[in-house]
Amino acid sequence: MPAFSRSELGAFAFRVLESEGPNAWLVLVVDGAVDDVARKLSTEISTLGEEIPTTRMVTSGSNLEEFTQARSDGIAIITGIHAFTDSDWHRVDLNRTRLQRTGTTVLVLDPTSIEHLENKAPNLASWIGGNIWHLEQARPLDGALVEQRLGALRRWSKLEDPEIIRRAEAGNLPPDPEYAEWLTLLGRGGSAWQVIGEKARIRP
Amino acid sequence: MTRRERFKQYMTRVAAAADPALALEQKLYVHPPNAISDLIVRHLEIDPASRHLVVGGIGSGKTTQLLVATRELNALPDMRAVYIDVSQKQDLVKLKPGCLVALAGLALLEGRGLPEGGELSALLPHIEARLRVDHNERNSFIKWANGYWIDPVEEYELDDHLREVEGAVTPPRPEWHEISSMQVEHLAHFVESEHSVGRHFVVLFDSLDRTTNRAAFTQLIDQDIAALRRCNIGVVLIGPIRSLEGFGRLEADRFDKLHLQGPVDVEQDPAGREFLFRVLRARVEASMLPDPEALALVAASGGVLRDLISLAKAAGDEAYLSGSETIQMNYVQAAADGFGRSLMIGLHKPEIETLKHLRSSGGFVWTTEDDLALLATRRVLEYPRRTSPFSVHPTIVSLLDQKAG
Repeated sequence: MPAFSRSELGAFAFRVLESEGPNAWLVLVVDGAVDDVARKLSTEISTLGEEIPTTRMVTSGSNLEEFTQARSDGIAIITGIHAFTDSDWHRVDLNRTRLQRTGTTVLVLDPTSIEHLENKAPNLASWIGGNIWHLEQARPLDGALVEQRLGALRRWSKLEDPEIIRRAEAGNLPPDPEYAEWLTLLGRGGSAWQVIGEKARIRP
Repeated sequence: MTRRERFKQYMTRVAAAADPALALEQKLYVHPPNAISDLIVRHLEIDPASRHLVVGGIGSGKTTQLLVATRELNALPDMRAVYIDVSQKQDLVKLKPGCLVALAGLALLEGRGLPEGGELSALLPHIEARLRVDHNERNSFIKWANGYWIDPVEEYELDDHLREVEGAVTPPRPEWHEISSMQVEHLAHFVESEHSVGRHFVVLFDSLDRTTNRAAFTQLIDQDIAALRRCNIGVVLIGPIRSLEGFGRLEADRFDKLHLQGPVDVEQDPAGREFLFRVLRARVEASMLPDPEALALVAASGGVLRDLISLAKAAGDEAYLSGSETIQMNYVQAAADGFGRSLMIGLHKPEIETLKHLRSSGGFVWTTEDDLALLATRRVLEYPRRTSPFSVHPTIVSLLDQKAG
């Protein structure tokens, strides 16, 4: 398999949240347990964002069609595609129009399934384009790099760390990626993001 | 407007997988030079029962052209055109003869409303036309098209009492022998009633390019196109790319006119390049996507419309996530690289060799199913007007060169 773009789970979750539709499709390729990653991704998205994604394990091409027809809105995380037969791939490609949703769809696939998707379902693959990411395990950050990046963020916003934390806890921090990165670099990612997320949910 | 709002608005306008009808509604459509919709409309204006086959690669804008042609045909006073996405109405896995006749008839019967806001005298011909459609014919056609339940006892009795006795003379079978002749006659009557109010009927069928079941598609074309011709219905149909080669040519021969919707030649045709540039400008201003970056996206797309929009979205994603206010060249390059890597997925050694050969010598001969797959998946693009018409998708060129090393 070629080395295609890599992403950590948190960064991918953010991509999903910021994907504007209608009918945005993304693929996350994982080397390990697909269902486990799908669950973690769902948690990550619901922590960061305004909605809880629907996670569905589909059993066949027609099952995927039924699901997308029944659930047009919101973020959907789909697993189970590793079990697709050639006729399932054929079916979803032929009937691609029936997969049209207004919300964002994420396919969590193993490395074999992504090859099948590209070769056996070219019409569906053309919807996805380059939105394919290989899950990368989170690596500990180098201290000097963290400080360098924090400095850049401080210069960009003309704010200091305590002010960012205060605003996050007060729910006044805009849900922009820079602030998410900032809080993560400060080791305040989880709790502070929870606050931003809560605030975002009540924002009109 | 905040940076996030600006980017969100941008992302909505470059949603590559959005329904093409939405782009028309939102006035994001830019009319291409030598648009296929123009050619189709011009032909149907003078020959309303003519048959048109449209063939082109995935994401080349075929559906949009069909929708535009439908809109333009309906603007003509003597024309009634209906766009049908066959895959929405019919499970394409179960494609069989009669399906297009049924869909055309149902569309004709469905939309038989009266013109709005007219004088009674103007409405009278339409009312008369509706009355002219026999109620029994209408019900019979709808039952045939949609299917119906029959009492098994009744069926048994029918079988018991009515048997077909073959005559001494066996008449030649009509071309559409697998479709009920009676229903084709009914459809012809419905069309006649449309003609009686001065309107021709044209159907534009989308999505049949996705079918890979060659036998089923050939059978469908043999039967349904002949039957629709009998009914004097104009037909525009998007067919699979294989209709252009070998035995597939027989399918193309069923039509009066073949239209090729290839990628726009962004390398050798300045007007094509300008068109795709305008497609981007209709969606995003230069303050967000400067001209050099927009032109780089055009070049990376290889002239495939959906790829252009998809690349523009990916470049926007990268710019937004990197904290940039604008989409700069490094984000365009990252988007092109990601897109190319996705096109490389699933390629095996023989296909990579074919692509390298095309890249180095310009040679590509379309002989096998694998060659066809390279075209269908846009790893190879065909520019019909070039002397050497085939080219590798621009986003995989550098990746192939790396592999060559």
